[in-house]
Amino acid sequence: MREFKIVGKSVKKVDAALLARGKPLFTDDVTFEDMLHARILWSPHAHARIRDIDTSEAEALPGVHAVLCYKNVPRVPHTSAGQGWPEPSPYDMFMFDNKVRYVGDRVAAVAAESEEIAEKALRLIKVDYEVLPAVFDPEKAMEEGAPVIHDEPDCRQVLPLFYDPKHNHCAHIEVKTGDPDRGLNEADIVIEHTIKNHYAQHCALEPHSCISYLDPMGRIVVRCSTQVPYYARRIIAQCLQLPERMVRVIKPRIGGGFGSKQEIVVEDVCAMFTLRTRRPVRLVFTRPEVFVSSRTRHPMIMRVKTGVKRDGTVSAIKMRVISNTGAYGPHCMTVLGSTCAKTLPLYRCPNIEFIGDTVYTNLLNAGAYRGYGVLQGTFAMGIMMDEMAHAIGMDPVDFWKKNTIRVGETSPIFSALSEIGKGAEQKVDSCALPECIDQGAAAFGWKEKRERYRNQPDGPIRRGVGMVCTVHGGTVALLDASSVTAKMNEDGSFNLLISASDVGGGCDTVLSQIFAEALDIPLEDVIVYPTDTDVTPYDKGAYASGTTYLSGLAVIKTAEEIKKQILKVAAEMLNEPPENLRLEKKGVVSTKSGKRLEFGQIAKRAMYSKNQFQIAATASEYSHLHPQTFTAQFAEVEVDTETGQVKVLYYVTAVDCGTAINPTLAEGQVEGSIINGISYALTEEFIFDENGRVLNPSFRDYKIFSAPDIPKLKTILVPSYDPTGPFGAKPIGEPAMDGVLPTISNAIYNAIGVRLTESPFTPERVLKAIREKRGR
Amino acid sequence: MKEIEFTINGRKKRIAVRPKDLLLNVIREELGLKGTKYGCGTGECGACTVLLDGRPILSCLTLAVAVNGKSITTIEGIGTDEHLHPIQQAFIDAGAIQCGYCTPGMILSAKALLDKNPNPSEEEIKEAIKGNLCRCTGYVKIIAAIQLAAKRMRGERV
Amino acid sequence: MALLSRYGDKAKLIAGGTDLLVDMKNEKINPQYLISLMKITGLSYIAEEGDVLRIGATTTLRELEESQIIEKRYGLISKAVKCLGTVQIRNMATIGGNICNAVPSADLPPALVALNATLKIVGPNGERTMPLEDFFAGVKKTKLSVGELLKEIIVERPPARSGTAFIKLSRTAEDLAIVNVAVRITLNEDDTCREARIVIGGGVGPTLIRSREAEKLLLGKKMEEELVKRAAEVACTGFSCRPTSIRASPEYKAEVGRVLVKRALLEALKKAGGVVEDDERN
Repeated sequence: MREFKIVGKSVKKVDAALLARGKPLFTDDVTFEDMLHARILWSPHAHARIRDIDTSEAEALPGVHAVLCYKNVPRVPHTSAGQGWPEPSPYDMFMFDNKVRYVGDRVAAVAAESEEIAEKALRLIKVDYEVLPAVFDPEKAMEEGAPVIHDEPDCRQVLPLFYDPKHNHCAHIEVKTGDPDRGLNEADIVIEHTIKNHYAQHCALEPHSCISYLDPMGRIVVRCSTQVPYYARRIIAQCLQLPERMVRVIKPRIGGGFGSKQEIVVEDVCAMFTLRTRRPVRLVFTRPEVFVSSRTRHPMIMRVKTGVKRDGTVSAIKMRVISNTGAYGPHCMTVLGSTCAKTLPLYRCPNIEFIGDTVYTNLLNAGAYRGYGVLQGTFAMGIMMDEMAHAIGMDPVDFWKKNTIRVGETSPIFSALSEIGKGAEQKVDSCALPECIDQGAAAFGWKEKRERYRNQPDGPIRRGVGMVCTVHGGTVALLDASSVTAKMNEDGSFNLLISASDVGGGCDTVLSQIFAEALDIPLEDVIVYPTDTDVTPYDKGAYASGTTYLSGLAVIKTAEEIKKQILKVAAEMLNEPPENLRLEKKGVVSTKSGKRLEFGQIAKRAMYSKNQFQIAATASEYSHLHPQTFTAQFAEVEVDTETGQVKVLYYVTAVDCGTAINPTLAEGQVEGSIINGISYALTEEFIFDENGRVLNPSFRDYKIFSAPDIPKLKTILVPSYDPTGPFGAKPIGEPAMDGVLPTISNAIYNAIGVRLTESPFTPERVLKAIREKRGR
Repeated sequence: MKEIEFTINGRKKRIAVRPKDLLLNVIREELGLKGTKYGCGTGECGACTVLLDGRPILSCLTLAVAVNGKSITTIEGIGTDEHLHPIQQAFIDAGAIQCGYCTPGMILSAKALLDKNPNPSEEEIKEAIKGNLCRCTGYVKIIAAIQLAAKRMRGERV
Repeated sequence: MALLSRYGDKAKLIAGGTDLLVDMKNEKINPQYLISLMKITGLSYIAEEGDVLRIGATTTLRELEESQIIEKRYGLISKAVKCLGTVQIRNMATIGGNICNAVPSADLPPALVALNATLKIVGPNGERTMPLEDFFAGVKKTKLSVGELLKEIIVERPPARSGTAFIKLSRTAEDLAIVNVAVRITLNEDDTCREARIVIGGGVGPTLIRSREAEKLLLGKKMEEELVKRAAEVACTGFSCRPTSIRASPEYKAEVGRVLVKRALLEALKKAGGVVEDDERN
């Protein structure tokens, strides 16, 4: 392992002081003269055709400047999913359509002098709906004769991928490795379970926000809360039927994303209003709109069958998944694909069968959410592993160790499937999972607690422990790319222009650290400038946990280009061959003559003296593979068997994320993931009425954890070094969240012998499971 | 419109407001202080927290007319660019700030706590910030930051 | 008062505003006038006079929480207040608002009813008092007539050999109750039950429920665990929860209600100095 100067240090976040002072850094913190305010009219029906819409009264209301609906916007099939191009998600969305497909779907929008006027105008819009039968159950949606949600002739898949909207069927994946049937036959014990996760919302504290305006040249500038500025530009241009050059996207500070801002949900409407009115327009979601009309997590029904031999070998894994994407299909195929491609490589079992389908229903629109299918797959497999260990009487710690992939090994899944199509041939370049298991178990007190709770006295309050291991492949291999530009200033400092999109995780800081390390300069000499598509070069944006890894690699490549230029100038100045020279503490020294030049001298010479040029470089990198991040997670729970209430008392997460570029920030990712995960596992839940309407679109009724709810938490960053990553780093954003559902399910099982296979584990559901077990 | 007079971050202000104007909107739009955030509009997330006569309240559920004659402190009234408040400094040092959207409200809740109780227990800290939701940090480093600030404000070495 | 008479049901009284403004934003109500109670001085006080505690209607929940008198002698109120809302909400919300808004899942009213609280109501025809128990008329409905307002809450000091308990089951620390239970037990010299007050809230019906039958069952008897269980059973039959409740089903509320009532009774019994069954589990 290498020694570093700045990498591996918990330097303070570069934007922290400004945020602590409450500076106006977010999208909605800047106002413009003559700014209009936009509001959207949402569908009250789960499924309806709009026979007609009359906006005349709304348009006539003083202060109203424009009303948009299907009648007056271009009909451009597209997807809101912020993905590469062409997107693997179906083009099944329109800015406005003459059909609504869930309660909370877009109907029309108003831009007016104030939000109040806009809201008043919404109430004046008359919509004549032909209400259609709706379908909410994904299995029923696949049946012959079910209401067809996308019956429009122009929805389509752009890539040559499975797409059958006439049967509400929008993705299908089949993967088979080895001989799963033989594997099951060879097993001593075969276990089968149906495991279901539930809808959830990201609950980023900042709502989706957008302010757009025209620049003096008549181009549309869009300041928005996006994780994917370049994709946002491309999709806005697509929806407005403009070339990309007419759109500029600026990403200010973002108040959390977790995947919800990897979608274009406000930007297209806002920009269209600006195009129509020539005025600055602001569109900021209310919290209920965020809950209902942004994006959610895909609920999946996972039927899993696994075989295990008495010696503890998993001999077969068969997984049949139905994923509910709701009314539209952003990320519908790739989330499903990740449930296989990014989850199953963890297991050394050669015999795997995965069959998955994604289905439209008239419920909330699912999309990207931290965990992205891997969370669902890990929920299922985490339970199955526990059940198998239990069935053969093996300690889960030993069972997980025996059956999980090791460094240097490969999985047939890697090449069988990426998020899209065939994957990259790869092996596991680094894996400290055994160390994670050992260190996690030791810190947690696994053996002692298992022993203690096995012998706990009778009573209604029971305690138990559970564990799970996870893997999460970061980035989208072969498709994701990042570019970075750096230029040198007279004082030897650098501007670092990135489009890697810090949404709170701290990549502005982490990438600055990597750049500073690569050039041996202090952190304050890196002036990071985050995304503005007019200025900063292309980057995929913040998703797939890929920023530190992929943008980090692009930063190093850029730094290397810069280094070459610096050495060339220094060589001229010192009259020595570049081979003699090396960088040291913001200067160049000759290993031969011992002479030293400061970066400032070199920059000034390059700019002003001779053979003048700007020391600057842009370099790009694409993802060659899925770097594998591992975790081992341990939970201690207390179950009140009379009320069904589950409390998590202690949670330990040991993580192999390679080099932690900034350990404090890496821990922050893990802690945030785990608490989001526990909150999801125990309390968060959308409640729908029989017509598909969300009954609890508020923090009052959709409960997320606040400070008193959190258990004691311990995070261990286990040292490792990934040879493919920037200074050995691997992804960290999502992997920890993947394991929480099964870890808690396993702990509950250990405590009370009752298996929870359906989330969330609310008191009511737990009590019901206890009753069923007791046969009452 | 009704004329109201109140103190904001130590300065007297006289402005005209409509009876139904919310304090949050007056602070953000009329006074241009953007550190106070909208997160839910129904008093559940705490992003709009300000101090009213030293006590944390929710500006999204407070009518502007109700603060007539009172004193409001927003995040802009805590510390200066040159000299951050110890709580702000502790939030930075402990890594308690990720996206930073909840941070102003969180810091104000912490300030109200520490002004009254310089040596709070972990439970008291959790209770004090129960009304401030954070989705990024899992609260762990926020609690640590408040403990750190409390120590520093008590003059203990850390 | 004059304003209230003049505008009738076009007006709403506003104190802390933490519920009212939420309802207005959600367009559940749309009053033309808001009449602020917070400017009326002299409605915010906590005063103990002899065996009663008088609380002014605009006293904030935070003031109740911070009151030494309440903490020491009316602990049930402290307990209910502390698990209610957040610091910010408690700084704004008032006891009067919490009562008059008549939310079925509110935490404070069950505790107050268990303490035998009465209300002083003023209106165009002068003052009247009413037991809090009789005050609620339905979901968000009270027996206040047009033009009347709540002025004071009067709580009697628990008699000697009393014990109280408040238990709330909720999804998270900051949440409305799935079920909450407040009880006060008073014992005779011989440890038999002299009086029991059992109140169940949390939306188990349109209003909180005082379980008189269960109370009767305990009266004059030693509170053995079996008897307590039976009382809990009786207390939790015939709930009429709204079927669409977001927090739990009616069946669950009834089932868990029994558990909470049992636990609350045993806890109160212990505090009253009664003989408690071996009860390590709670």
